Amino acid sequence: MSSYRVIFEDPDQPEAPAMVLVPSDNWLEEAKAGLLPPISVYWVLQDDEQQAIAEGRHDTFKHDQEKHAAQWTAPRIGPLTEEEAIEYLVMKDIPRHIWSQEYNRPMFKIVKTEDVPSDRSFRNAWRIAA
Amino acid sequence: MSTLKVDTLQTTGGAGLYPARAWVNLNGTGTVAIRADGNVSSITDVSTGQYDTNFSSAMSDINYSCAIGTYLADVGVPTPYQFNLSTTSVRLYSYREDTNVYADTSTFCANIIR
Repeated sequence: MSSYRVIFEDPDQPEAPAMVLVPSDNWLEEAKAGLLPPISVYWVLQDDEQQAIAEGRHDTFKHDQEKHAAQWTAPRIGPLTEEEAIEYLVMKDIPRHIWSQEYNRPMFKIVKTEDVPSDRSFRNAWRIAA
Repeated sequence: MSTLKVDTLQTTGGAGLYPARAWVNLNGTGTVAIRADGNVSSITDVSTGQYDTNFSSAMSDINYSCAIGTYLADVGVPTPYQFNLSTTSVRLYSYREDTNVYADTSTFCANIIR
């Protein structure tokens, strides 16, 4: 099991509780084995889909076949450490506006798994401190 | 280890076979955790009874099928439902009809077929 979790908040939803990203062990093994494509492969897909949403054609949207296949055909980036894999995962699975822009306080933090409280009501009251 | 790469799967009689593109079994109580998965890079504990499943490899479109089921000890079966958020993730919900609130669930399973 991964030693890390990622706590993050969405500045677009200030009333929502902090969210917790939980990495998959299978995916982490792939990352450590060097089986992941460059992160840009996922960003291209996300950009195309966001554009379709903005243009109101998400229901009929289909990824470009070549860009979609790049998930498997692009050259692999090589083995990552667990820490590097978590950073990759942040950029893959957390909405980009949360980690790519600067706010007046941090919007995400990588923490040790044991630091995440198991009590839901306590967790829901969390805010990420500077 | 060998990998089988094909475009379609069929029985010897010619009937189509449609394996899951992704699946997950998660524990949504306590410190949320993935028990087991396939083609899932992570889950996001969004809020009480709400979990995003993020795919390792994106789907080609959002018209995939998501079969889901939940179980919560002592309560039984909260109503599960899902929203096909995008080609990269699906949001899973667990809702208690008796109390009209979202509820964390000890077992939430989802199979994605496309």
